Formats: sequence, structure tokens, C-alpha cells
Amino acid sequence: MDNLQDILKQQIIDALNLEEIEIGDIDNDAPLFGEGLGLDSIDALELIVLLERNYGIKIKDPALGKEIFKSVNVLYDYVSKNRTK
Amino acid sequence: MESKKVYIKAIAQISAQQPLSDDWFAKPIELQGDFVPACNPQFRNFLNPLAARRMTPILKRALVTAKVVLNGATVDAIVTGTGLGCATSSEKIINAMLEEGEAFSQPTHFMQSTHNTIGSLVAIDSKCHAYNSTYSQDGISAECALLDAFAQMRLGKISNALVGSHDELPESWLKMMKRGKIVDNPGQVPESEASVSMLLDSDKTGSKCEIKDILVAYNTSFDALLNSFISRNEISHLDALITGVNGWEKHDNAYNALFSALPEVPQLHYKHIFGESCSASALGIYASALCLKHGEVPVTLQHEGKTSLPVKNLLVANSSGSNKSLIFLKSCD
Amino acid sequence: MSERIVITGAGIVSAIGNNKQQCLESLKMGASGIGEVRFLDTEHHEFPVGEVKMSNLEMCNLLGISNKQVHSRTTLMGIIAVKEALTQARADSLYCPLTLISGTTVGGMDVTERYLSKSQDMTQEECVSCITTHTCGASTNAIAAYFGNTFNSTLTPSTACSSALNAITLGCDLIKAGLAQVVVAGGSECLSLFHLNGFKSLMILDTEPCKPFDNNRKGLNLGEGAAFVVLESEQHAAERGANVMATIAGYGNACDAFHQTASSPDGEGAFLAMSKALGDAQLAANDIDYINAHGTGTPNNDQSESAAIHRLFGDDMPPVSSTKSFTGHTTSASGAIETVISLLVLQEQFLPANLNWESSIEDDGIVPVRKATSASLHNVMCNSFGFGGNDSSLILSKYSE
Repeated sequence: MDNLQDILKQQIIDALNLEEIEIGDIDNDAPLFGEGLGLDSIDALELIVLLERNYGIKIKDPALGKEIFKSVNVLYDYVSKNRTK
Repeated sequence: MESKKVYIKAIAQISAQQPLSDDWFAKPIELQGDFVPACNPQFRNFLNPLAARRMTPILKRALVTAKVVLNGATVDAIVTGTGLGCATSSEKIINAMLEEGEAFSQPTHFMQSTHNTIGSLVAIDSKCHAYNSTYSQDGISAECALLDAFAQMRLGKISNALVGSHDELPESWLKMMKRGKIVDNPGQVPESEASVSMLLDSDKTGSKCEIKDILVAYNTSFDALLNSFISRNEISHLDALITGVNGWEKHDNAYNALFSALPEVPQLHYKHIFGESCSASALGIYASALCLKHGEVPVTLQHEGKTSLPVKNLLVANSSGSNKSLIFLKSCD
Repeated sequence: MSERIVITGAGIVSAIGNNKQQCLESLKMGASGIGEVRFLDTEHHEFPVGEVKMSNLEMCNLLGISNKQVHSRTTLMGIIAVKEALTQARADSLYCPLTLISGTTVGGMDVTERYLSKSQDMTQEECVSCITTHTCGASTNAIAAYFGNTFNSTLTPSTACSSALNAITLGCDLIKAGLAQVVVAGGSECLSLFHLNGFKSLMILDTEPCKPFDNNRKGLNLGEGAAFVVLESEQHAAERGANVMATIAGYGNACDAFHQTASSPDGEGAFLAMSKALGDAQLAANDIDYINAHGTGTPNNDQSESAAIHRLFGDDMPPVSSTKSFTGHTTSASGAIETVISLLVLQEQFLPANLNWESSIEDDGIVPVRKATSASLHNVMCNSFGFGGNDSSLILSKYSE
């Protein structure tokens, strides 16, 4: 696994215990929350912890999470631009 | 005004024995070692995997035993007991703090670390807006939960209730118990895990037994507690005394006062079958309810003296540190 | 017709005072106890907290107990508050053993944390000590132990932030059902790294003093403390000539059954709890003269609670305030701390302020009491809600024979 999209997908699967789901099941442009994977506000908080732990990105406002976690591609763009590690 | 009666209508367990089954009554699994984890059922037969993905085993077990006894019924109260609470989630937070300091606490673990996670999850799953409370009193947590429901039913505030007691044992806690030498002592039964749910009802139809009285105590000897019990109950005859004796002398000594006060009464044990845990006493109640329903006591529970048949009334005694309890159960016929 | 339950003693220790008198003065002066963390050994100084202004050593000295033994701060604060309540109720003249019901969730977690750093090489004794002080039940038993033979039963409700209010309502039910005579009920909870970091992970802590019911509220400030009341039947109190402080008029408990941490937008659980309390007290909504709200200062709670209060009281809303702006959110102890505050308010006939409020929440907003004001109060309602939607509400009434 060498592209960041796939790495992010695997990290999401691990962080949120999505045992039934594989990388291939997640579309890069599909919404992660609501209709898509069916994630909720607690998952968003888990992803915020993930970004800080793995990429050194600190998000202070949980509302910003909603924007960043729209899809894997949106997340990918944000991480690429803002990562400190 | 006469108090309303309280019956155990349904009861289910997940423990070291076969889950959701009464098979142990005839053929118990023999427990070995210092720890025997709970034997889980196929959770996916009961729970939606997406909804269950965040749930730790204790939450899944509690939800499954609750679903089984509720069987679609709605209740006026959900009351839960747990000695250690959602210990696996707490352990994860503590371990993360050990490794990473205060940097990255995870919300899911925290959210599921509070003791009332269990009862609230059952309420969310069954969409139950009724009374909901949780008690954590070490090894008598189940009795405290029962006492709450019992009081409200006697007052006529509620006419049925889901009462559960659930405990799990994470690795680090077991390790600390081993280092503290409070497990694995000569003769001591293994540690285990337990999840018991029961449906209480003021209607007798189809019930397993009646709960006549519940006493919880602190800093009180069993003979003193027995005196308070006798002062409020008319008892002509007890068919058996079922105790939480676990084989470790230091723990079991507390029961001696009870044995000397009731020398003629046959003694039953259950922890060699289910192991020890903060919710073990709920399994004692479960075993008793089954005996009363069948009118007989399996050989595997009998310890001293011969129980006369059919067995009609049982005194369930439990001791945990400085807390004790007595529960008086009676058959329905 | 069941017997009336009355309060004959009360004790409190919180960020705004170590007893009833000090807390009362702070409430009247509008002096908040929230500030930078001093006693909890945390790196998170960015979050203001409502700490009790005593170290563990100072509490031990106050109580005349040895600091050599391991004590949870939850236990120490609990003893201080129980002692004040028992003294006022003249419990030494009681002939019957008492029941102690103390709500907590953190329990002895502070002790566990102290052992953490050395968990790899703990001695046998330290392991036993950690095990026997860690649990919620253990912290209640340790409070009872201080008082010798006073208590002969102990119970520990643990419904997160509504634990202590559920302790009080259980006490009332046990007395009514004839299963207890005199109950000391309330709760105690100290700050811990465990829940400070936990609340941080939920991103609901404010880095400034909390602003309950304000449109720009950002979150809560954690607090700590303990409070207890002595409960008995009116007849029992009369027979022993006890001085009655107030009557427990009614109470209700309901479950929001919505989410494990979040409250429903329409405040269903809160609405049901308050409605049940009114029904139990046989009072109408317009009989309530003041609501001590749960009002944590989080966007979610305050919106949900406002919606519930609007639904129940309509346009005829009684004065409302959240005294968490003084004490911080004392989590499992908050139901008892705010019951005792409601009791003081009822006795002194004034409305306490909701500090730091500037503008109303859009749509369902509430305009809370902004500074301490005299008022004629007969019935006051105290709300206490917890994670998992464990919502409870209690109504206290001025005592008349």
C-alpha cells in the first residue's frame, strides 16, 4: 500500500473498527458520513484524534471535521497540505 | 396498603458455561486455571455488525441477554449492576495514558467507559424512555440493582423491570489481582466474567420464582443480617442456603456465622460452576431461580446436607469485602 | 398516600466553599470558583476547572486522619460533606443505623492514576490497595468507614453526571417502601486525568469560564466536590424533634435513549424527567418558582435542555439558572451539589445567578437569572442529566407542617 488514499482508508477502517469493510469498498469520492459509510459524530472525533496522532494535524473546532471528512479525496487533499509529520 | 409482589419472569446468562442455555444444570463445563473468560454466543445472530462495531464484549453480552429476556416486551424500568463497569474501555484509556501521556485520549473509549453505558445502550436499542439507573457496589452490584427495582415495584410505581448485572475482566486487572495474591489461592475457583439479565414482573403468570425480600448490608456480620431478615419475614422452613463460597478460606470465613446460625439448612454452592466475578451473585440468583422452577437441585450445586424436594424456598447469601446481601426466593406454586 | 420525605441535614464542599455557609456567600456575591488547575497534576492548564480549594493533605488534617494511608480525593470530599450533613441532622441522637447512598463514576480513579507510573513494579500490598480503592463501591465504603458504626448499608449509583440525584431519589424510594429509615444520600467526585482527557477528546471543554445558555457557549468546565442530604420520613423527623429544612416534593427519572453521549434535539429525556417529577409532586408547571438547570455550557446540552423547558413550561417559564458557572460541572456529584444549592436558595429565598451569560440561544433560547435576586420561592426544580441520556429531575418544597 503506497498511495496516501489507501493508507488513509486503512487507518479509518482500523480506527473505527469497520471490521466488515475493506479498502476496495470505500469509494474515493463517496461521503464517509450519513449515507456513505454511515459514520457519526463520535467517528468524526476519532478521526480528529487519528489526524493528530499520525499526521500532527491539530483540529480545534469539531465543525471543521465535517468539511474535512466529506470524502477520502477531500481528506487526502487536506492531509497533504497540512501534515507536519 | 399491601405491597405488590415481585416475580422473576425470565432470566438469561452469558458466563463461563454455555451461553443463553441451561445445559449446565445437567452437564456443567469444568472450569480450570486462574481465569476462564465468558463463552460468547454468535453475536451476529443478535446484533447488527455496523451498530455493534464500537461495542466491547461486555456491551454485546449485556445487549444480547437483555434482548433474550425482553423478547420484545417493553419495561417500566431498566436497572443495571456492574462492579467494575466497562473495564476494557477504561483499561485502554489508562494504557494509552501510560504510553503517550495526556496526548491522545480516544472519545469512543471514554464514551464507553462509564458504568451506565450498559444500561443506556440497552435503552437506546429498545427505544425505552423509562426509568434507567445503574449501581456499582463491587460484588453486590446485582443486589443493589434488584433492590431499586424491588422497592419501586413494591410501591407500585412500576409493574415490571429489566434488571441486569454485567462484568468483564480485562487483562491488566487480572494481572494486578494476581500480583495482589487475591486470585489463584489454594482451593479458589477461577475468576470469570458474567452477564445476567432478568425480567421482573408483578404478574405471576409463567414466572420462575418470587422475590420475597432483599437486604444489602455494609459492615454487618451475617448473623446480625440474618436477624434483620428474620424480623421482617415469616419463615417456617428454608430448603437450602445458596452461598457465594469461592473456596478461598480468607473470603469464605464471612459465611461461617450464617452456617452456625442455620446448622440444619443444606448448603448449595455455585461459583465452582460459574467462577468468581463482581456479577457472580447474579448467577447465584439465576441458578436459584432455575432450581425453584424445576423444584429440584442438581447434584452439581449440592455441597452439604440433603435438600428436601420439591425445593420451595431458598436463601441466597453473598459476601463481598465489607458488603453482604441476603435474597429470599420462593417458588411460585 | 405515601409518607412525605423531608431533608433534615445537608453538607457540601465545592469550588465555591467548603461548607454550606461559604457556598451560600459565594452564590450571593456572584463569586465563581472556576480558575486555573492547581491540585490535579495535568498538563492541560488551558482548561479552567472548579477545584475544591484544599489539597488532599489539608483535607486529611481537617478530618484528623492520617495521610500515610492511601485516600481517594473522592472519599475525602465525601467525608467532609457527609460530616456536615450528619452534624446538622443531629445524627448522633439517632438510635437506628443509617444507609449511605453515594453517587460516583470516577470513584478512586485518582488513586489508580497515582499507581500508574509504577504499574510494572507494584508490590503485593500496592496492588491490593489499588484494587480496594479503585472501584466506585470502594469509595462509598471508605466514606462510610470514617463514621464507624453509623452506616449499616451502602449503595453506589453510577449513572455518570446524574449519579448523585439518582442517589437521592433511591433514598426516598427505599424509605417509602419501608426498606430504609434514615438515608444519607448524595455524591462525590474528584477531578481525574481520566475524565479531564476524556471530556477533552469529546471536544466539549471550554478554554474560558463556561457560559451556560449563552449563544456563544463553547463547552463546559469540569469541577469537583461532594454534597449529601439526610433524608427521613416526616413522621420520623417529627418523632425525634429534627429540624426540617425542606420537603422532597417529587422526582422523575427518564432515559433520552438517543445517543451514548449526546442529548436529543427536542430534549425528550429531560422533558419526560421534569414531567414525571411534576406528576410525582402533584404540581402544575406554573407552581415551579425556580429551575436550577443542568446547564453544562456545551452547545448540545443547553440547546436540548432549553427545548425541553420550553416544551414543558411554554411562555410561563420560571426563572432559570445554571450554577455550574460557579462550581464547574462536578459530574457525578453535580446532582447533589445542585440539590443542596437549591435547598440554600429555598431557605434564603433568592435566585442565584447564571454567570457569563450575554445573549440568548437562537430559536429556543432561555434568558437566565443574571444576578442574585431576592424572590418568594415555594417549589424549586433541580435538573441533572447524564451521558447515555440518564436524565433526572427533583422538586424541593418549602416545609410547612
